[in-house]
Amino acid sequence: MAEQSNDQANEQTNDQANGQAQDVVQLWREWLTLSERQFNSFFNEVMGSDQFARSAAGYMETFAASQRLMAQGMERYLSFVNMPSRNDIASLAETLQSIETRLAQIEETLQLAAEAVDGSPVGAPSREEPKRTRQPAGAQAAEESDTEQSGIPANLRRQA
Amino acid sequence: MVTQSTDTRFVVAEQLRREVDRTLERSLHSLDVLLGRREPAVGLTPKDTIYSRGTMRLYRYRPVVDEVYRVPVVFVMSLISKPYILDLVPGQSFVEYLLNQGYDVFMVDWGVPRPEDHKLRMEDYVLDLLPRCVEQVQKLTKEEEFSFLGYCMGGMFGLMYGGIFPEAGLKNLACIATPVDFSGMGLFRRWADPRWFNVDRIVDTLGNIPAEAILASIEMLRPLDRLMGYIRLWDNLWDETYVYNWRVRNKWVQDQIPFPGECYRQMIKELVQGNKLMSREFTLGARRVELERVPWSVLNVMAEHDHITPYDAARPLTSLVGSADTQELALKGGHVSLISGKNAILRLWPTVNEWLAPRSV
Repeated sequence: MAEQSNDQANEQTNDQANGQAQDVVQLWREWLTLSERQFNSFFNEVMGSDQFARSAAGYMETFAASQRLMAQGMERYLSFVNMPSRNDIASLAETLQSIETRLAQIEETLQLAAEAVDGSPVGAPSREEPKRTRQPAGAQAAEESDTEQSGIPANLRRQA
Repeated sequence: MVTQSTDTRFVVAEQLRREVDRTLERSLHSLDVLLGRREPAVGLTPKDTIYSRGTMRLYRYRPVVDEVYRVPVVFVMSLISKPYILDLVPGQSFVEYLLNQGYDVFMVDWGVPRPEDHKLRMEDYVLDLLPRCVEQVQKLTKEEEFSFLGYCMGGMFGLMYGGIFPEAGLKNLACIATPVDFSGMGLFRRWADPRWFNVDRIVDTLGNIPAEAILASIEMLRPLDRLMGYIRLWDNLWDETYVYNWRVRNKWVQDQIPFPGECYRQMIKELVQGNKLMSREFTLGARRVELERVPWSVLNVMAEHDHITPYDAARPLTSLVGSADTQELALKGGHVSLISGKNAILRLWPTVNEWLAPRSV
């Protein structure tokens, strides 16, 4: 009897100690979430002002202007040392892309021509295609119960 | 009295042992995070590339059942992020979920824009690339009809496509966290105010908008998110599952891509500043996006706590379309937790499946 009450007391003490520790951590977590919300809404209010939007736009413009200056300087330097610049590479890539597009168009035309001759689509999937007859689970169940009741599948009954 | 002090000592010892264990676990996991070791592999669902053009790829995920729904599903991705958020890791993949439910799943991945792609406009995406992808899907499945599932800006592309080609076979459109009313975009709209934001100068100088700028503008909406994320990670660093999920999600959040310059100019001027999608004046290649005469079914799913596409920006979508079969749902969660993680597995995915299944036969 005395052992039992000791065990109960042990459990209670364990629970209490664990509970207290968890309570503190839980309180901290709640405080964290609450502070996050408050700070975010405070910052949102600040960032929603005209002054902030104007400064952010000003920062973007300054960043763009510095990028432009840097790009111009770099282009001059690369041209001086006979190296292609980023723009040169980009225009080369554009040319390649337009060739790729034209090739794709030619490929499509050829495929269409081949299909017209062959009758079967070129590049048709080699893997077996799944049947496209699936019904939603509810509909299947309803159909099955209909069939069970009358003995005739619902679609056949409609035809009849 | 003696027993009580022994108990307290036992409890303290137990807690101490637990803390030592956790500290060890924390050290191991923090090394993994800091050194980028054992990086979670993403986008593992088997797929085939069935069409490509420039950086764009059209994937077909290999069906896992013998009998699929008649109408194929095509995921249309946003230009802002990489598509693997929809196919994160096994067990946390929307694509895998839909395959298991019996859909034939395709995905349009726009790829990472290269410097030479800065001239790409929305017309290129909606009037050229998307119709080609649809053509490939129709050819491969031998089905005229298809469904679009668009996440964020992908939903906008789906809407635009459907509004310009209402007879092209689009049967169902599920838009997830898709903005249509840019007057509800809060800080984004404020920052892009034409009185001080000169988009022309920025695009003319930079070409593509750098990924860092895109990430910074998103993070500025909730400036403490990253810091708090790290604090929470530290708190749970002993928990392997938490760390794994955090790393998977964080990898995607930080893995931003540049935004094509011309498309950005068009989006800022016509959609954010002009709000033309909402006023029904938005045109692509001199063709108006006529949402009022669309016949297809529309599902609009929004997140209650979405700070990137706020509820007010997404809500008017169903009122814009003329279809009689529309449905809107506001689910708990934010922009990312709506589509991935536990929240998505329990809420979004089954909801989309329930809506899509009867409309895919």
